[in-house]
This record gives sequence, structure tokens and C-alpha cells, in this order.
Amino acid sequence: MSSGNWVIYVSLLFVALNKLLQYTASYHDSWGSRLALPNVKAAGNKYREVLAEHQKLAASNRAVSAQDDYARWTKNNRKLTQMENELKRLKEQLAAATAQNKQMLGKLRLVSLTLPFLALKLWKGKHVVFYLPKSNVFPKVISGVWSQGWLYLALAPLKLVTGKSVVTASTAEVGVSLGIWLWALQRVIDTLEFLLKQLLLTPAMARPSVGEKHEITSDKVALD
Amino acid sequence: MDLLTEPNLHSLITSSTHKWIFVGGKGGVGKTTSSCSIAIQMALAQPQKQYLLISTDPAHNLSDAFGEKFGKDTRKVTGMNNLSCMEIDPSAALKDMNDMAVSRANQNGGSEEDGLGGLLQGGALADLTGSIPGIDEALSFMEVMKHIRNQEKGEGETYDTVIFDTAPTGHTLRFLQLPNTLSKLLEKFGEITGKLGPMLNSLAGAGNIDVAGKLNQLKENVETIKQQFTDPDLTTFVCVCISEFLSLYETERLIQELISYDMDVNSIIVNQLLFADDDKEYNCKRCQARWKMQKKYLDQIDELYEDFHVVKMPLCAGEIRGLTNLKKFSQFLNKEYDPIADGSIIYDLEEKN
Repeated sequence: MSSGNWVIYVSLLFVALNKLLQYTASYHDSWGSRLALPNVKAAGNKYREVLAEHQKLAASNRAVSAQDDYARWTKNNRKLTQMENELKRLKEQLAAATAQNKQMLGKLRLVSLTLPFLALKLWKGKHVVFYLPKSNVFPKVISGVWSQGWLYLALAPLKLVTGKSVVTASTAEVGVSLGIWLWALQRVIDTLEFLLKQLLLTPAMARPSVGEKHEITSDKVALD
Repeated sequence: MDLLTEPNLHSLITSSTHKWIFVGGKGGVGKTTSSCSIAIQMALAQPQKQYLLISTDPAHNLSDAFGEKFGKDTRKVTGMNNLSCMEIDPSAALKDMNDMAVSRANQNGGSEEDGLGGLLQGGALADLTGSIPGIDEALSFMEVMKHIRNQEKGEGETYDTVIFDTAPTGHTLRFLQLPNTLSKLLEKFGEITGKLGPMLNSLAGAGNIDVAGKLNQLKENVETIKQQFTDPDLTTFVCVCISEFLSLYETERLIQELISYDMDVNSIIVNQLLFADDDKEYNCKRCQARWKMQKKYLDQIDELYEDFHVVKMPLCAGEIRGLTNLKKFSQFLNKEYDPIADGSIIYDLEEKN
């Protein structure tokens, strides 16, 4: 049994990591930008540089009189238009690099978390986590099915009719496999989450105030 | 090497390669006078060639400029045997074509095979195609081109150069961006039809409108035109303006737009200049003040458009109407106006023709 404990610990680790990633979803973008590839950082820096230049030129152009210094004003406008086109291009580049980065991080998650967890579930899916107690925890019908299979259910009415006993000693050792246990664990966690959200995290909604009831007593329409 | 660009249009007037010349600028700057002047000078410089001057402005004034009536059919200018004029309203022509297509579709229920007219498909696609920027301009322009071809067939002669007096809205050439727009649209279309396949054809019904096919055809036609219009030896745009802030601002926007279409633009005509410094005989305070303002902008123009032909034309005492006055005025496009030597022309043109 102790040799199989590592399976349980690793599974719990995977479940915990998945939950952590789920709860910190809003921070993923900022973490992703810190873990960005060099091309993303370079694109971001270039964009910020050109943007700063553009803002500086736009500010200085606002101080130039269009009518008294038309040539200079127009040349500045031409440069500003060029920079705007450049900014558009850099923005597209940055978006593409960021998307690529995000895709790469997604693949990393797949390879380091999702696939190993799946492999574990497939490989050790039938590993027994614990055995059910032999005492009368479950209804007799269920104990009967476990020890004798579905045939028990099929034959039970017959036994009742003929007066034979339907109670059987629960001799079979019934274990809970890793797959079932993980599923049940996930359901329990989800249910607890739901309860906490509903009971504690959802703000209470005030009862709507009902004003005076407006009753229509006649067909006459009040005109202004 | 010619370091200073000449302040005249001599190279354009004597050009043997140019086929399409566009004259444009915002309203009231002397566009029609300039386009007539360019046409006249070209016709006089090269009498062996045939020239056609077209106005696409719905508010036609070629007839007013020459003092004789022109219409949808080409007619030679009285007094010139190698210059013809035509006034066409492309949007009205397009509307007529659309209405005809609608009536034909209602009668036959079949598809219209006439090239571009087919695109309208009984008006069904007018809403769709009208929302694509440049399509109206493209269809209008093609209608004009078709009209020119018909005229050439009818008259039995071809025009070596066509001069367009464009509308002030300035969107005449917006359709040059159309191939890019249509490429993207057709790509999307391709994706959709690829996925939905024959279901679309059954949905289209008996008319069987092949939208993608028609748009492809339009795209090819526009690309053919664009090839000619982006060749600087074949096509050029002459901007007309006056020496005031708003006009210059509009001219700058027009030039940048034309550059974005890869169209050659290297000439600017600055009209209505007072040259008050050299007007010794008649000299008023108001003219001096306005001339000072105009000079300020002229210096800016010279600085801003160093490699352009900036032609400076005087404001005359009267309107320039009639062939005689236009001939006298237009000579300064060929050889630049000298306010001292040529100053008398201002008052010579005062007499109505």
C-alpha cells in the first residue's frame, strides 16, 4: 500500500496545480508577459519608443502655428502620419508575438501538467486507493451486488417469492480505484466551491420594494 | 542634372507619352480653367494628336468655360480641330445602368452578361457592392471609359490623351485601392463558399448570382486600369489650389492620398495670385495685404514641394471664358508668368469674349 502512496500524492499535486491555475487565471497575462520570449520584449520596447516619439512630436507640433509656419507644420504632420503607420505595424507585430508567446505557454502547460496527469490516470487508473469497509455502511442490496454481481438483483425477487433469504454476507473486498476517487474528489471540490461562492461571495440582492399597487378601476383615460 | 524643377508645365504639355491627365482640387480654385488651359496648350503644342477633355463634375462647367454647349457625346471645340470636350455625370450614368438592369431582370429573370453591368444583377447586388469603398467610383469610372470607347468608335478616331476635370469631392480615384479591398473580400468569400459549397447556389435561386465571379472580374478590370494609372509616364495628376491655408491643407491631403495610390503627382498650379508688388499702376491696400498673405504661403509651398512643378498663375481682372481668353491665359502654363513682362494680360482678359 505504501508503495502506491506516491500515486495519490502526485495526483493530489496535479489537482492542486490545476486548481491554482484556475484561481489565478486573471494573473496569467501579467505572468506571461514576464516570462515573454525576447522577440516579444523587443517588439514591446520598440512600440513604446515610437509611441513616445510620436507623442513628443505631436506635442511640439501643437505649439507650431499652422498658418505662420505652414511648411514646418506640414512636414511634422507627414512625419506623424508615417509614425502612425509604423505604430500600426508594430502593434500588429506585438500582437502576433504575444499570441505566439501565449501559445507557447499553453503548450508548456499541456506538456508539463495536462499530459502527465492524463498519463497517470491512464496508467494507474485501476490502482486501488482504499478499500470500502466491510461493516453495514451501505444498503444490503448494494452489498449483494458487490459480492454476487448484477445477477443478485435479478434473482432477488425470485428468492423473496420462494422465501429464501436475500441477505448475503459481504465477503468481497471492494476497492475504490484512482480514477473514481479523483472524479469524486473533483466533484466534492467543485461542490464546496459552489457553496462558498453562493453563500459567502455572492452579494445579497435586496428585496425589490413594491410601491403602491396601481389598480385600474375604470376605462376612462386621463388626458393632460 | 536638373536641380531646380521648372515652375511651368512645359514638360507635361510637350509630353508624347502621357495618356491620362487628371486635374483636381477643392472647389473654386480654378480647376476647370486649369484643365481647359492644359488641354488647349497640349493641343496647340502637338497638333497631330487628338485630345479629349472630360468633365466628371456633376455641376458641369466646361460649356461655360468655352462658351459653347457640350454634352454626353464628344464634340470638337470650335476653333480647334484636335481638341474635343465631353460632359458626363458618372453617378447618373450608373443610376441609369442600374435602373435598366433592374427592369431587364424583372422582364427576363435571367442574369445580365454585360460585364460590369452584370455585377448589378438587377439591382440585387447594388446594396452589397455599394457598401464597399471605392466600388461606386470604380463603376462610375468604368462607365466613363466605356463611353469614351463608344465615342471613339462612333467618331472613327482615337484620343491620344484624355484630360479629366475631376469633381471637387476628390474621390474620383478612390477606386485605385479597390484591388486590395476586393482581394481580402474575395478571400473571405472563398472561405465561406468553400465551407458551404453547393448549398449557396441552391439558396441563390434561379438568378444564380455569381458574386465572387463578378467581383473577381471587377478586380481584374480595376487592376488593369491601376497598372496604367500608376505608370508615371502614362498618367499624372495636376493639383490646383490657391495660396491660402485651407486650400493648401486640402492639397496636401490630396497629394498624400494620391501617393498612397502610387499615382504620379508632381505639378501644382497656384491660382489667383495677385503679384501686387509689381502692379504699379493699380495698387490698393487690400491687394497689398492679400498679396503679403499669399507670398507667405508661396514661400511655404516652395519649401514644402521642392521637387514639384509649382506654377504660379495670376488673378485676372475678369473671368477667363471663351477660347481666345483661355489661349491667352494658358500660355503661362507653358512658360511661367512674369508679373513685370506679362502684367498687361490681367486687364487684357477683362473684355468678355
